[in-house]
Amino acid sequence: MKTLALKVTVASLLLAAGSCFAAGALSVSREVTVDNSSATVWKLVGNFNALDVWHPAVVKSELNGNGTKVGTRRLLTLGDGATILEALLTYSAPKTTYSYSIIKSPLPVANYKSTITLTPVDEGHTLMKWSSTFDANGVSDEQAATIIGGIYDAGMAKVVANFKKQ
Amino acid sequence: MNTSLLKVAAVGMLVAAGQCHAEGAISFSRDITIDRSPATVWKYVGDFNAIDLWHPAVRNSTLKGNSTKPGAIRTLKLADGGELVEKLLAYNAAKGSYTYTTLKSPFPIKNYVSTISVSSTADGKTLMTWSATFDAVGVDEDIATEWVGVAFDGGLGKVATNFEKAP
Repeated sequence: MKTLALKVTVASLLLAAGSCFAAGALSVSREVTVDNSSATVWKLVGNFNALDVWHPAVVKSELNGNGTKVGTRRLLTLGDGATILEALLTYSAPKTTYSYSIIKSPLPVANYKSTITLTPVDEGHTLMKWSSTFDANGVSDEQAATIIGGIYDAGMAKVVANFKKQ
Repeated sequence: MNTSLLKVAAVGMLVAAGQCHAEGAISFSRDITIDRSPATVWKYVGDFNAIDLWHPAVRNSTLKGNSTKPGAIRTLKLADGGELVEKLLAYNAAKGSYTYTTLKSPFPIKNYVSTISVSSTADGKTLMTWSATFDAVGVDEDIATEWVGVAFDGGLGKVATNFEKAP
Protein backbone atom coordinates (compact mmCIF):
# COMPACT_ATOMS: atom_id res chain seq x y z
CA MET A 1 0.00 0.00 0.00
CA LYS A 2 2.75 2.41 0.97
CA THR A 3 4.72 1.40 -2.09
CA LEU A 4 1.76 2.11 -4.32
CA ALA A 5 1.23 5.56 -2.75
CA LEU A 6 4.91 6.33 -3.24
CA LYS A 7 4.75 5.23 -6.86
CA VAL A 8 1.74 7.50 -7.48
CA THR A 9 3.50 10.40 -5.82
CA VAL A 10 6.61 9.85 -7.91
CA ALA A 11 4.50 9.63 -11.04
CA SER A 12 2.75 12.93 -10.33
CA LEU A 13 6.04 14.57 -9.52
CA LEU A 14 7.41 13.40 -12.83
CA LEU A 15 4.31 14.67 -14.61
CA ALA A 16 4.65 18.03 -12.86
CA ALA A 17 8.33 18.19 -13.72
CA GLY A 18 7.46 17.29 -17.29
CA SER A 19 4.95 20.11 -17.63
CA CYS A 20 7.51 22.60 -16.34
CA PHE A 21 9.63 21.79 -19.36
CA ALA A 22 6.78 21.13 -21.79
CA ALA A 23 7.51 21.53 -25.48
CA GLY A 24 6.75 25.01 -26.78
CA ALA A 25 7.20 27.02 -23.59
CA LEU A 26 7.73 30.29 -25.46
CA SER A 27 5.09 32.04 -27.49
CA VAL A 28 5.18 34.89 -29.98
CA SER A 29 2.22 36.58 -31.63
CA ARG A 30 1.92 39.46 -34.10
CA GLU A 31 -1.12 41.16 -35.62
CA VAL A 32 -1.55 43.66 -38.44
CA THR A 33 -4.55 45.19 -40.18
CA VAL A 34 -4.46 44.76 -43.97
CA ASP A 35 -6.38 47.16 -46.24
CA ASN A 36 -8.41 44.66 -48.25
CA SER A 37 -11.06 41.95 -47.83
CA SER A 38 -10.12 38.64 -46.20
CA ALA A 39 -11.08 36.86 -49.47
CA THR A 40 -8.48 38.87 -51.38
CA VAL A 41 -5.75 38.71 -48.71
CA TRP A 42 -6.27 34.93 -48.40
CA LYS A 43 -5.34 34.52 -52.09
CA LEU A 44 -1.87 35.74 -51.10
CA VAL A 45 -1.23 34.30 -47.63
CA GLY A 46 -3.58 31.29 -47.78
CA ASN A 47 -1.43 29.36 -50.23
CA PHE A 48 0.87 27.16 -48.08
CA ASN A 49 3.32 27.08 -50.99
CA ALA A 50 3.54 30.83 -51.70
CA LEU A 51 5.67 32.23 -48.89
CA ASP A 52 8.20 33.01 -51.64
CA VAL A 53 5.71 35.59 -52.93
CA TRP A 54 5.01 37.46 -49.70
CA HIS A 55 7.99 37.00 -47.37
CA PRO A 56 11.07 39.07 -48.25
CA ALA A 57 13.51 36.48 -46.85
CA VAL A 58 12.12 33.54 -48.86
CA VAL A 59 13.17 33.22 -52.50
CA LYS A 60 11.73 29.77 -53.25
CA SER A 61 9.03 27.48 -51.87
CA GLU A 62 8.65 23.94 -53.20
CA LEU A 63 5.79 21.66 -52.22
CA ASN A 64 5.75 17.94 -51.57
CA GLY A 65 2.08 17.00 -51.52
CA ASN A 66 -1.20 18.91 -51.80
CA GLY A 67 -1.10 22.49 -50.51
CA THR A 68 -4.27 22.09 -48.45
CA LYS A 69 -3.73 18.57 -47.05
CA VAL A 70 -2.34 17.90 -43.59
CA GLY A 71 1.14 16.38 -43.78
CA THR A 72 2.15 18.31 -46.89
CA ARG A 73 5.70 19.62 -46.69
CA ARG A 74 7.17 22.82 -48.06
CA LEU A 75 10.87 23.40 -48.55
CA LEU A 76 11.76 27.08 -48.26
CA THR A 77 14.98 28.48 -49.67
CA LEU A 78 16.15 31.74 -48.13
CA GLY A 79 18.09 34.54 -49.81
CA ASP A 80 21.35 33.29 -48.28
CA GLY A 81 20.78 29.73 -49.55
CA ALA A 82 19.69 28.23 -46.22
CA THR A 83 16.63 25.95 -46.27
CA ILE A 84 13.70 25.37 -43.92
CA LEU A 85 11.51 22.28 -44.10
CA GLU A 86 7.99 22.64 -42.71
CA ALA A 87 4.88 20.43 -42.46
CA LEU A 88 1.25 21.49 -42.70
CA LEU A 89 -0.60 20.53 -39.49
CA THR A 90 -4.09 21.96 -40.14
CA TYR A 91 -5.73 23.84 -43.02
CA SER A 92 -9.17 25.47 -43.20
CA ALA A 93 -9.97 27.71 -46.16
CA PRO A 94 -13.47 28.55 -44.79
CA LYS A 95 -11.89 29.70 -41.52
CA THR A 96 -8.92 31.27 -43.36
CA THR A 97 -6.36 29.63 -41.09
CA TYR A 98 -3.57 27.06 -41.21
CA SER A 99 -0.96 25.69 -38.85
CA TYR A 100 2.44 24.20 -39.53
CA SER A 101 5.54 22.96 -37.77
CA ILE A 102 9.25 23.19 -38.52
CA ILE A 103 10.88 19.85 -39.28
CA LYS A 104 14.36 21.13 -40.06
CA SER A 105 15.81 24.64 -40.03
CA PRO A 106 18.85 26.73 -39.11
CA LEU A 107 16.66 28.82 -36.77
CA PRO A 108 17.59 28.56 -33.05
CA VAL A 109 14.24 27.04 -32.05
CA ALA A 110 12.79 23.60 -31.31
CA ASN A 111 9.22 22.29 -31.06
CA TYR A 112 8.03 25.16 -33.27
CA LYS A 113 4.34 25.22 -34.15
CA SER A 114 2.81 28.23 -35.86
CA THR A 115 -0.60 29.44 -37.00
CA ILE A 116 -1.60 32.08 -39.55
CA THR A 117 -5.19 33.35 -39.33
CA LEU A 118 -7.16 36.00 -41.21
CA THR A 119 -10.21 37.57 -39.60
CA PRO A 120 -12.46 40.04 -41.45
CA VAL A 121 -12.66 43.43 -39.75
CA ASP A 122 -15.06 44.87 -42.32
CA GLU A 123 -15.55 44.64 -46.09
CA GLY A 124 -12.26 46.32 -46.82
CA HIS A 125 -10.05 45.39 -43.87
CA THR A 126 -8.60 42.17 -42.52
CA LEU A 127 -6.80 41.31 -39.29
CA MET A 128 -3.83 39.05 -40.00
CA LYS A 129 -2.45 37.15 -37.02
CA TRP A 130 0.74 35.07 -37.02
CA SER A 131 1.57 33.24 -33.78
CA SER A 132 3.64 30.33 -32.54
CA THR A 133 4.89 28.30 -29.61
CA PHE A 134 8.45 26.95 -29.46
CA ASP A 135 11.53 26.49 -27.30
CA ALA A 136 14.85 28.26 -27.63
CA ASN A 137 17.64 26.11 -29.00
CA GLY A 138 21.19 27.30 -28.31
CA VAL A 139 20.21 30.90 -27.58
CA SER A 140 18.35 32.65 -24.76
CA ASP A 141 14.54 32.69 -24.70
CA GLU A 142 14.61 36.42 -25.43
CA GLN A 143 16.89 35.99 -28.44
CA ALA A 144 14.76 33.21 -29.88
CA ALA A 145 11.57 35.24 -29.44
CA THR A 146 13.20 38.30 -31.04
CA ILE A 147 14.30 36.28 -34.07
CA ILE A 148 10.87 34.72 -34.60
CA GLY A 149 9.09 38.04 -34.05
CA GLY A 150 11.42 39.70 -36.56
CA ILE A 151 10.51 37.09 -39.18
CA TYR A 152 6.80 37.74 -38.63
CA ASP A 153 7.24 41.53 -38.75
CA ALA A 154 9.08 41.33 -42.09
CA GLY A 155 6.48 39.10 -43.73
CA MET A 156 3.48 40.99 -42.41
CA ALA A 157 4.96 44.35 -43.43
CA LYS A 158 5.19 43.06 -46.98
CA VAL A 159 1.58 41.87 -46.93
CA VAL A 160 0.44 45.26 -45.62
CA ALA A 161 2.48 47.04 -48.31
CA ASN A 162 1.06 44.79 -51.05
CA PHE A 163 -2.50 45.92 -50.27
CA LYS A 164 -1.80 49.51 -49.33
CA LYS A 165 -4.13 51.82 -51.24
CA GLN A 166 -2.29 53.84 -53.86
CA MET B 1 7.76 57.85 -72.81
CA ASN B 2 6.85 60.01 -75.79
CA THR B 3 9.11 57.93 -77.97
CA SER B 4 7.57 54.67 -76.85
CA LEU B 5 4.08 56.03 -77.31
CA LEU B 6 5.05 57.17 -80.80
CA LYS B 7 6.44 53.74 -81.57
CA VAL B 8 3.28 52.11 -80.30
CA ALA B 9 1.17 54.47 -82.37
CA ALA B 10 3.30 53.70 -85.41
CA VAL B 11 2.91 49.96 -84.89
CA GLY B 12 -0.82 50.44 -84.46
CA MET B 13 -1.03 52.43 -87.70
CA LEU B 14 1.00 49.88 -89.61
CA VAL B 15 -1.14 47.04 -88.35
CA ALA B 16 -4.25 49.08 -89.10
CA ALA B 17 -3.02 49.78 -92.62
CA GLY B 18 -2.43 46.09 -93.21
CA GLN B 19 -5.80 44.94 -91.92
CA CYS B 20 -8.24 47.78 -92.41
CA HIS B 21 -11.37 46.11 -91.07
CA ALA B 22 -9.96 43.35 -88.90
CA GLU B 23 -10.93 43.24 -85.24
CA GLY B 24 -8.14 44.04 -82.81
CA ALA B 25 -6.22 46.22 -85.23
CA ILE B 26 -3.98 47.68 -82.53
CA SER B 27 -1.42 45.45 -80.90
CA PHE B 28 0.57 46.33 -77.85
CA SER B 29 3.05 44.50 -75.63
CA ARG B 30 5.20 45.17 -72.61
CA ASP B 31 7.63 42.92 -70.78
CA ILE B 32 9.84 42.96 -67.71
CA THR B 33 12.58 40.73 -66.37
CA ILE B 34 12.22 39.55 -62.77
CA ASP B 35 15.07 38.09 -60.73
CA ARG B 36 13.08 35.00 -59.64
CA SER B 37 12.06 31.68 -61.14
CA PRO B 38 8.94 31.53 -63.34
CA ALA B 39 7.49 29.01 -60.84
CA THR B 40 7.57 31.64 -58.07
CA VAL B 41 6.34 34.53 -60.23
CA TRP B 42 3.49 32.34 -61.56
CA LYS B 43 2.17 31.89 -57.99
CA TYR B 44 1.64 35.65 -57.90
CA VAL B 45 0.31 36.32 -61.40
CA GLY B 46 -0.91 32.92 -62.66
CA ASP B 47 -4.25 32.77 -60.86
CA PHE B 48 -6.92 34.21 -63.21
CA ASN B 49 -8.86 35.29 -60.11
CA ALA B 50 -5.97 36.95 -58.26
CA ILE B 51 -5.15 40.09 -60.24
CA ASP B 52 -6.37 41.88 -57.08
CA LEU B 53 -3.03 40.81 -55.56
CA TRP B 54 -0.70 42.29 -58.14
CA HIS B 55 -2.44 45.13 -59.97
CA PRO B 56 -2.60 48.42 -58.05
CA ALA B 57 -5.78 49.55 -59.83
CA VAL B 58 -7.71 46.35 -59.02
CA ARG B 59 -9.31 46.25 -55.60
CA ASN B 60 -11.11 42.89 -55.73
CA SER B 61 -11.56 40.03 -58.18
CA THR B 62 -14.45 37.58 -57.93
CA LEU B 63 -14.84 34.50 -60.08
CA LYS B 64 -17.64 32.59 -61.77
CA GLY B 65 -16.46 29.17 -62.92
CA ASN B 66 -13.13 27.40 -62.59
CA SER B 67 -10.15 29.75 -62.71
CA THR B 68 -8.15 27.39 -64.94
CA LYS B 69 -10.97 26.54 -67.40
CA PRO B 70 -11.79 28.64 -70.49
CA GLY B 71 -15.14 30.32 -70.00
CA ALA B 72 -14.47 31.36 -66.40
CA ILE B 73 -15.52 34.97 -65.81
CA ARG B 74 -13.83 37.39 -63.41
CA THR B 75 -15.42 40.63 -62.25
CA LEU B 76 -12.85 43.23 -61.25
CA LYS B 77 -13.75 46.08 -58.92
CA LEU B 78 -11.33 48.90 -59.60
CA ALA B 79 -9.91 51.19 -56.95
CA ASP B 80 -11.72 54.14 -58.55
CA GLY B 81 -15.07 52.30 -58.40
CA GLY B 82 -15.16 51.14 -62.02
CA GLU B 83 -15.83 47.56 -63.02
CA LEU B 84 -14.36 45.20 -65.60
CA VAL B 85 -15.82 41.85 -66.62
CA GLU B 86 -13.39 39.50 -68.35
CA LYS B 87 -13.55 35.96 -69.69
CA LEU B 88 -10.79 33.36 -69.71
CA LEU B 89 -10.08 32.10 -73.24
CA ALA B 90 -7.07 29.84 -72.68
CA TYR B 91 -5.06 28.66 -69.66
CA ASN B 92 -1.82 26.71 -69.56
CA ALA B 93 -0.09 26.41 -66.18
CA ALA B 94 2.69 24.25 -67.65
CA LYS B 95 3.59 27.00 -70.11
CA GLY B 96 2.90 29.80 -67.60
CA SER B 97 0.37 31.57 -69.80
CA TYR B 98 -3.28 32.61 -69.96
CA THR B 99 -5.41 34.56 -72.42
CA TYR B 100 -8.61 36.49 -71.74
CA THR B 101 -11.02 38.92 -73.35
CA THR B 102 -12.92 41.90 -71.95
CA LEU B 103 -16.72 41.62 -71.88
CA LYS B 104 -17.41 44.90 -70.12
CA SER B 105 -15.02 47.77 -69.51
CA PRO B 106 -15.05 51.50 -68.71
CA PHE B 107 -12.11 52.05 -71.08
CA PRO B 108 -12.41 53.33 -74.67
CA ILE B 109 -11.49 49.99 -76.24
CA LYS B 110 -13.23 46.98 -77.78
CA ASN B 111 -12.31 43.56 -79.22
CA TYR B 112 -9.69 43.35 -76.48
CA VAL B 113 -7.83 40.02 -76.31
CA SER B 114 -4.85 39.82 -73.96
CA THR B 115 -2.22 37.29 -72.92
CA ILE B 116 -0.09 37.18 -69.79
CA SER B 117 2.89 34.85 -69.83
CA VAL B 118 5.98 34.05 -67.80
CA SER B 119 8.98 32.26 -69.27
CA SER B 120 12.49 31.42 -68.16
CA THR B 121 15.42 33.49 -69.39
CA ALA B 122 18.79 31.93 -70.19
CA ASP B 123 20.07 32.83 -66.72
CA GLY B 124 17.08 31.45 -64.80
CA LYS B 125 15.20 34.71 -64.33
CA THR B 126 11.64 35.33 -65.46
CA LEU B 127 10.49 37.24 -68.51
CA MET B 128 6.92 38.39 -67.88
CA THR B 129 5.07 39.55 -70.99
CA TRP B 130 1.67 41.22 -71.15
CA SER B 131 0.30 41.74 -74.65
CA ALA B 132 -3.02 42.63 -76.23
CA THR B 133 -4.85 43.36 -79.46
CA PHE B 134 -7.83 45.72 -79.46
CA ASP B 135 -9.63 48.58 -81.23
CA ALA B 136 -10.20 52.13 -80.07
CA VAL B 137 -13.77 53.26 -79.36
CA GLY B 138 -14.55 56.95 -79.81
CA VAL B 139 -10.95 58.06 -79.22
CA ASP B 140 -7.76 58.17 -81.25
CA GLU B 141 -5.83 54.94 -81.38
CA ASP B 142 -2.91 56.50 -79.53
CA ILE B 143 -5.22 57.53 -76.67
CA ALA B 144 -6.66 54.01 -76.44
CA THR B 145 -3.16 52.58 -76.55
CA GLU B 146 -2.04 54.91 -73.79
CA TRP B 147 -4.85 53.58 -71.58
CA VAL B 148 -3.63 50.04 -72.12
CA GLY B 149 0.01 51.01 -71.64
CA VAL B 150 -0.70 52.70 -68.31
CA ALA B 151 -2.67 49.65 -67.16
CA PHE B 152 0.14 47.26 -68.14
CA ASP B 153 2.84 49.42 -66.56
CA GLY B 154 0.91 49.62 -63.30
CA GLY B 155 0.65 45.84 -62.99
CA LEU B 156 4.13 44.97 -64.23
CA GLY B 157 5.63 47.64 -61.99
CA LYS B 158 4.01 46.14 -58.90
CA VAL B 159 5.15 42.62 -59.82
CA ALA B 160 8.73 43.85 -60.30
CA THR B 161 8.64 45.69 -56.97
CA ASN B 162 7.27 42.66 -55.13
CA PHE B 163 10.24 40.52 -56.13
CA GLU B 164 12.94 43.12 -55.62
CA LYS B 165 15.53 41.99 -53.11
CA ALA B 166 14.87 43.13 -49.58
CA PRO B 167 17.20 45.93 -48.46
